[in-house]
Amino acid sequence: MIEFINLTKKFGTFCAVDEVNAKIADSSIYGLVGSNGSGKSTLLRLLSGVYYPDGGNISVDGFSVFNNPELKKQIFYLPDAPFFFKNANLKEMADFYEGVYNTFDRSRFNYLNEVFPISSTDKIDNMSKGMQRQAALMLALSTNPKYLLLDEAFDGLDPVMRSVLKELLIDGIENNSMTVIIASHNLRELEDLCDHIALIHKGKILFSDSLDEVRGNFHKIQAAFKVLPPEIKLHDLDIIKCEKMGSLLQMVIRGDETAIMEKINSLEPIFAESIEPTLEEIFIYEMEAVGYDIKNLLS
Amino acid sequence: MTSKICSVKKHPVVNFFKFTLKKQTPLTLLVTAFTLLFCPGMILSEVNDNHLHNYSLSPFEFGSISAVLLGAALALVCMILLLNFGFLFSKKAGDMFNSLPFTRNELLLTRSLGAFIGGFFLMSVAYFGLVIVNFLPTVDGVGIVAVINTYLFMVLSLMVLTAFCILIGICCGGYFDTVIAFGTINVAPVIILTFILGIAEESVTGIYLDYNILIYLTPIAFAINKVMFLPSVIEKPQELYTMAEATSIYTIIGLIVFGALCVFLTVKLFGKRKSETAGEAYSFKFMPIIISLLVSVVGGFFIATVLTGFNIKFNLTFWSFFVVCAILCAVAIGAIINRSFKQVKTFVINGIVAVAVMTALVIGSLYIVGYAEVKVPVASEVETVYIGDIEFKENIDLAIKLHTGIIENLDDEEEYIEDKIYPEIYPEVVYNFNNFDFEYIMKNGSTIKRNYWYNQRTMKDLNPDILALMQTDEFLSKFDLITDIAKEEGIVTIYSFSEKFGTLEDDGHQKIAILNQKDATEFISIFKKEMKSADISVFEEETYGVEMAGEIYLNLHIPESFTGTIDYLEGKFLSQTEQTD
Repeated sequence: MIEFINLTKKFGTFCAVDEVNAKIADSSIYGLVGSNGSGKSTLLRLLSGVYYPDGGNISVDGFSVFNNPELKKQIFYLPDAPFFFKNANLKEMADFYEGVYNTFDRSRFNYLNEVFPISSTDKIDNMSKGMQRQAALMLALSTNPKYLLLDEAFDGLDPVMRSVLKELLIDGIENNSMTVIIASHNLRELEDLCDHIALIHKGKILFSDSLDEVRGNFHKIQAAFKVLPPEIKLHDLDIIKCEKMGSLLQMVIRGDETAIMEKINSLEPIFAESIEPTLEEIFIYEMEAVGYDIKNLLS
Repeated sequence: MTSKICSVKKHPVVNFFKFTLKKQTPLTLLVTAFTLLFCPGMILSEVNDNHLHNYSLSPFEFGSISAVLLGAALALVCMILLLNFGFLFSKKAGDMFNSLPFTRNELLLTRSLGAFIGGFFLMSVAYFGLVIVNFLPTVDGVGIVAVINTYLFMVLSLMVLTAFCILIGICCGGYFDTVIAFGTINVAPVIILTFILGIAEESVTGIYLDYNILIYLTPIAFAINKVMFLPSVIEKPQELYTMAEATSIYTIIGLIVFGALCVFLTVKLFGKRKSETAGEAYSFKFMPIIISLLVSVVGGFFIATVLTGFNIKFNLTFWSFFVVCAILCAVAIGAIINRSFKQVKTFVINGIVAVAVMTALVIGSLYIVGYAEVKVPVASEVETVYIGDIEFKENIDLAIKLHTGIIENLDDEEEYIEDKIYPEIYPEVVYNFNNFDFEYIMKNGSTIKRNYWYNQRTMKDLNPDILALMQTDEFLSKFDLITDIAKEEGIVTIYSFSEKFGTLEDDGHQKIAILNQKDATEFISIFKKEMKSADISVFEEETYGVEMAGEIYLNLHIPESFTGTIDYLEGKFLSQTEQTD
């Protein structure tokens, strides 16, 4: 399990990660969402032992990561701009990682080389951004890490490859108990993949929760009435947001769906339905509720 | 296939080290190939050109070639270090390398050791070539002891210099800034001390400063210098006793201590180095301060020197230029380090601090040197004294009296400099005493050196003292060299070079006399006799000049009152003449 305890990282006077506290369960996919410069990459670099924290601590399975090779053997960090040796090809890079990571699985690499159709003898420098990303992912997955840290992993991948990657990640979790932490500025990319989502802004985690709980707890209700019920009759509900359009009420309500629908139906609407909100909508509602202009945060 | 698996399953650090070596191999082989063209390639070519005669590979030549090999190896080490430590200068590479499952020390060790091995390989291969040439039957080379000791010293030097280079490298965050830092740290101290010594010499008369101290300011110059002279010291310790002492066990201990200090600092600093500084100019806050202070002084000095027409003096004009230029240079290097002018105020302060430190150092050195200038050794503490190349062991009192008299007669600075630049005609009496180089060998083993120009206007009161010295047996024994040469070679040739003798023809042909051993003894005997009975009027006389040539050349200015000497020579001049140049 990964645990951030009051984790802080400063660059000069700029605080990139500001007293972050969080826990990441094993065999899960943890999404870190935030705009550019919000501190996502810094958090991953701290977690991979690239940076040393200025305050607080990172504990992975109870141990500190920095300068701890035994722990780092279980962690693979794939940055948003992956590094390859000058003029190296995929085979040479695989040889390198095979020497460095005892967990490197050559047969898995060969399998992934079939999934990602990249020449293992061409220079990686000459490949497109998307192909370089695929090469980096192949190498990362071949090391069979316990913790895989992906920064903007889907950048440059076409929809087919995005889908393949998602399947591979889920396969890794199911078969190898892998824990994946993905940082992205695109919430939509993570919503069908992550078990847990955290929204990071200006170095602070504004919101962090299990996706199932988030989804199960928020309901978007549309109901039409002949005569709109007085607000007093809706007081029992935990309404996050409510918009009136003529005789139509559109509400975001937190709570148990059955209970909410029973309450709405008791007001005798012409029709009423519950729609599952998108993750982005939930975030927007949740963060607006605590005073953040979430649309700007996620842009 | 089995072996492949076995090698892969070795310790990751070993695999990483092997990978490092593999990556640097092409560069290592290329630079080694170029070096081999020089050594043994070029030397073999020389040996071949001289195949009819024995080729003599002198100890100094052997040392010089070894020094070049050390330099080439160090250059390769620096190149490999820049490649191996690329992750210090690139965020992208830094992300990858710092996330690898190694401790920082393992990362440092594998990359450093790789660079050292590259340089060591080049040096060893080329040195082996040199040794083969050295022991060829047709080559008269240095002995096995010198060969082994020089090699061991080179290996030690390369290790220490590698540690020194890594120390500089890990303090930097960019390739460009590393090169600037490396150049500045190695060159600036030498220039700064040269600057201080130069000003001291220009401002204070008589002082003789030892510029050899400059090699101690940079470990690279120090090691290369020591390697250059080591074979000579081993082969001919009796001739180079001073240097033999300098290349003693203390040199080796000093190098080891310095290397250990570099390693200690490197490990400490590398452990504290923040990965996020990759791509920035420097990784530690002290680096911009050090670099800006050094660049400020060197830049200020250089520009002020150019702007004042190379008239380096501790006066208002030069120092005003120096102060302004130093502060501007500090601002300029600050802009280069920050890639902007955002910390101008800080670097202006650095420039002011640099100027203040330099002013204090120069004033301090002038005070110390000025004190030394008026300090004449006590006779009881002096073992012997040389004036020029003549030893006065029995007449130390006379030498000290002359030295004291010179100091008492030193003119004020302006007049002195004027006289130094446009010296008045000095008395060409007997032996060119136009300047006085005093070298005292003290009983405690130390030496004191002073140098003064003879100034006819201010120092003529010293003529009796100078004459007294010239009449001593120690001074006159200098001319026994002529009889010694005549004894060894059978003859000594004497050429006239002053018009006072006249010429055989009008087109400037020299007169030549060839003296045998008997003639030479007689000639010197007459000269000594006349010198013993001379008075100070000889300083006002015109002189007859001759050059005595044998194994050595010796000029003699014979005052016109030495008629016996002159007549003897006139009687020996041949009718055949030689065209003067």
